This record gives sequence, structure tokens and C-alpha cells, in this order.
Amino acid sequence: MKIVVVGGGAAGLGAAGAALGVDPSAEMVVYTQFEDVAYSPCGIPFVHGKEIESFDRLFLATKEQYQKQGIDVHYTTTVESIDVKRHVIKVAGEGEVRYDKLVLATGWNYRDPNLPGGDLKGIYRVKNIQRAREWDSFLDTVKSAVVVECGLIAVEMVTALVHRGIKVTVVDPGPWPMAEVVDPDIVDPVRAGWAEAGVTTLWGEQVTAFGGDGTLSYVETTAGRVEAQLAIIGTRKVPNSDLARAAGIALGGTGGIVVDARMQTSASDVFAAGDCTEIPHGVSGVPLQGLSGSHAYAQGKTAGINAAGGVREYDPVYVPWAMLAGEWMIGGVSFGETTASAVGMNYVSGVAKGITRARYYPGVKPITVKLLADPGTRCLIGAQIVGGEGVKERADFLAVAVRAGITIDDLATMENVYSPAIGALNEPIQMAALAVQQNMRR
Amino acid sequence: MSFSQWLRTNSQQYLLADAQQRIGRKNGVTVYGKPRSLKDRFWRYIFVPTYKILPDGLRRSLIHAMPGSHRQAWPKQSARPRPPHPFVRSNGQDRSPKK
Ligand SMILES: Cc1cc2nc3c(=O)[nH]c(=O)nc-3n(C[C@H](O)[C@H](O)[C@H](O)COP(=O)(O)OP(=O)(O)OC[C@H]3O[C@@H](n4cnc5c(N)ncnc54)[C@H](O)[C@@H]3O)c2cc1C
Repeated sequence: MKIVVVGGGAAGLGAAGAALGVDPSAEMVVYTQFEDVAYSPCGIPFVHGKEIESFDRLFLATKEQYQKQGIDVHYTTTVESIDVKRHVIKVAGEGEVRYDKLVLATGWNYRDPNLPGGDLKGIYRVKNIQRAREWDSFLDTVKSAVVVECGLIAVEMVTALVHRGIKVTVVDPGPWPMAEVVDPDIVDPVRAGWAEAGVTTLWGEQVTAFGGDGTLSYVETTAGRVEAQLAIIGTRKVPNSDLARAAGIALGGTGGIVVDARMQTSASDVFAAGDCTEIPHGVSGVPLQGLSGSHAYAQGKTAGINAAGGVREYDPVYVPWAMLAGEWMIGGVSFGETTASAVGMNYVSGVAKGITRARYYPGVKPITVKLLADPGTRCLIGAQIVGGEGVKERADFLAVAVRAGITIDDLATMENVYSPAIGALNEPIQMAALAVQQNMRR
Repeated sequence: MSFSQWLRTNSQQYLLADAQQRIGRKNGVTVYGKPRSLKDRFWRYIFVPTYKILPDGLRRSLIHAMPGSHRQAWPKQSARPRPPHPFVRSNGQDRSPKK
């Protein structure tokens, strides 16, 4: 059996590895437009910020290791079209290539802001590691930068640029950073940290043009001109699903490829995984697109196993997320107040401010937990967290709680670890659950 | 762009902007954003208020009717709320729930 994977990111390589696990005799070919596979793009902002000394550290495996594993990766090679009826793809420089099973893992792009001057030098979309190496030396020459819209990756880049001593101006039509996923009270410490670090923020404003003579030297915004040698595009992720669309494969309202729990698309023998797809949300059922690398990897494995003749189902998602934003860790699960209000979902929330270790233990940090529950069933439907540490673990735990239908009463009576160096006597999740219970009685 | 993509993109943008305004105000955050175009006015002053007054059930059916992955086969969500605990706590004591 010949399995062809289009995409060498988390989803594509997850699919290739898992498929060979099921059928080691399968002929496995992976196509990628990039020069490399198997690196962590997630680490790029931290190399730019000099927390990690080299891009080499971001590679997870060598090209030879993939070859040995039986994965034939075709680098810098574009798949131009798919003929789903004939089970054939057209590959630039190779011509027609037959497949028995095809996995689409073509990923995402930043939404194109489509602005005048968009082809000037100095406009950076952080993604490919080879381009990142080139940009990294350019950063040494930059005095001031504009961040065009402030999604999650852009927030990490703000921190990186500040660490490099670059003056940063954030321009975003939204009212606060990452306003599509996070509530204003939760992101407030991050905003305060940025103000302290000298970051200028223009909320409710838009970039209207890039200007300069071949190379960027200023950015026009609705609030006036900002001098800048660098613009970071931080717009939302959009699915790279053009190849699927052209092949007549069904797309959903998000523009992502429609899949079922086996990651099967509308075309027979064609699977899809990662950020080019859309996956239903576990609580609302609304399809979501542009999740994370960990989602892409797990979906890729599901697609690969099914493509190779195995059986695996992927579940609707509850989307735990967490990240470093300046000096703070910030994260959440499923709904926050803003997103719940946007879809018109009934909720009662409760907030607790706590600490991450015993109050006397060195390195103790503040942490705020907000929980949202459905007043009808009393089930947890979402959470948001900001703190000095311990955010990721709580987000992961709360995602399982939402998925399992855990109620706010379960959380209000939860057991917790108390150990001075790693946890306080009062667990902030439990305290937030008590606050929700209290607000429900009102 | 298909109709469902056009609808999703715009409804998501404007419902979020409306929610940001409400939640922002509650938290003392000034939310700017005067309407910039006719399109802006339509989505803000006609679509968003209409969506908000629709009954929950109708909203869900409309969302479900849109093409997308949510209409494919997926594992069922766990029961909500979970089956009750075998005992209920009242006046500081755990008792079996009354039959
Ligand atoms: C700077 C940065 C920071 C990130 N931080 C995090 C993080 O902290 N946590 C996290 O979980 N995730 C993170 N991510 C991951 C990211 O947000 C995505 O979720 C993830 O990259 C999705 O993986 P994917 O395999 O679906 O797609 P992609 O990574 O976009 O890979 C797509 C692949 O498809 C190939 N391709 C596309 N079209 C064609 C074609 N026609 N022919 C051949 N090949 C093609 C591309 O060359 C590429 O190899 C980060 C990403 C970046 C860039």
C-alpha cells in the first residue's frame, strides 16, 4: 500500500509515523514545501528572544532518522493538485504520483492583511525555521517594530522583541491582546507588564499601509504613522485548504477541511489532519479551526492509523491552551466569558486569586483562576488562568474536567496536593469553584 | 468564499466584537471601534441584535444546519450532568437520595 502525506508539520509527520506503526510494509511518502521537517516552530520566538541559544536545538530528529524509519520525505516540493477519482496527485518537478491513501496536512497561514506595501522587505511572518534563521540576524539591525494584530504567536514575539531591546508598537483592531480567546481581567497583568517594559499599544486601531523605499521604514495606522524597520504579522491563523478545495473536497464554514472522527474527508481514501481541518467543539458543537501543534499531532496520528487500515477515533475538542506572555503564564480551556457571551451561552462565573506555593516558600507566585459553569447542569464549561507558574497543568486538568462533565460542586469539594515548594494549602481551582457556587445562589 | 464561510467569518467577528464590548465594559476596559463602513453598521446593528434575540434552540439548529465537520460522525459527549453521586449531603450528613 502506498500512503502519501502532503505536509511535513506536526500533523503530517504524526500521520506518517503512526501509519507505519500499523502497517510497517506501507510505502510512505511525505511532501513538504519547506527545507526541513521535524522541528518545533513553537520554539522560534524563544530563539529570537535569546532564551534558547540556537535554532539547531529545535530539531527533534535528523533527515537520516526519517529515512531509516522508512519515511521518504520530499523537501521543497509542492503538490500542485489532486485527482481524487484517479487517486493521483500532481507534484511539481515529479509529475503524476499515484496513491492508495492520501493524508492532507497542509496546515495554516497567517490571514493576509492585504495592505498596500505588503511586498516591502521587513515584513515577517514567523513560521519557517530557515527563514527564522535569516530574520534572526536582521533583528540585530532593528530599532523599532510594529506588531500587526496580536494573536498568540504575536504575543510571544512581543516578548522576544522586548528581550532584544527593540521598541515595540502593537496595533490591533481588538480591545486587548488575544481578545479572540482571553478575557480582559485575565490578560490585565500582561498588559501592565508590557506598559512597564515600554511597549506601546494601539487597541481599536488598524494598520492601513506599509511604507518605505523597497524596505520597510514606517507603518501607517488609523492612529497615525509609526516608524519601524520590522513588521510582525500576527493576524489569526487561516486554514491552508486551497489544494483540497480545488480537488472538490468539502470545506466547512471556517474554510477548514470537513472531517469525521476518523479524520476522513468527503473524498474516499483521503484523510486530513491538523490546522487545515475544522473540528467540532465539545461543548458547543461549533466547528473550530486553527488549534495547536499538539492537536495537529494527535489528529495526524488518527489520520495515519486509519489510512493504514487501523481504527482510531479523535474526539471533539475542549482546547486547553497556555503560554508565556512576558513575565506571566496565561491559559484557558474551552470558553471564557467573552467567547461564551459571543455565542450566547448561559454561564455563571467565579474568580479566585491564590498562590502557587506556600506563602513562605521562596519563589511563590500569584495565580488567578476563573471558572465558568452552565447554570442548568452545573457542569464546568470553561476556565481562564493567569499566574506566575502552574498554568499549563491546571489547563490540562480542567480540560479533562469539562470533557468528563465534572460539575462545579465536584470541583468545590476536590482534593488537592499541599506541599510548600509546589502547592499552597488552598487550591485556587477549588476556591474559584466555591465562588461560582456562591454566584449561582444569587 | 462560500456563503457559509462568509457567514461564519463575519458573524464570528461581529459577535466577538459585541461580547468584547460588554465584557470589556464590565472590567473597566474602554473598547474603541466606531463603525467604519456600511458593512460594519449592518453586522453590528442588524445581525448581532437579531442573533441575540433568537431562542437558544433556534440558534443551535441554525448553526447545526451550516455545512461543516460538526455534521459528521463524532463520539458522543459524556452525559451532562454526570449521574448523581450515590449519596447527597444535607445538614452535614450524607444520605441516600429519596426514592
Ligand atoms: C512561531 C510559532 C509558535 C507556535 N507555538 C505553538 C505552541 O506554543 N504550542 C502549540 O501547540 N503549537 C504551536 N505552534 C504550532 C501551530 O500553531 C500549528 O498549530 C501547527 O503548526 C499545525 O501543524 P500542521 O502540521 O497542521 O501545519 P503546519 O505546521 O502549517 O505544516 C504544514 C505543512 O504542509 C506543507 N504544505 C502545505 N501546502 C503544501 C503543498 N501544496 N505541497 C507540499 N507541502 C505543502 C508545508 O510545507 C508544511 O510542511 C506554533 C507555530 C509557530 C509558527
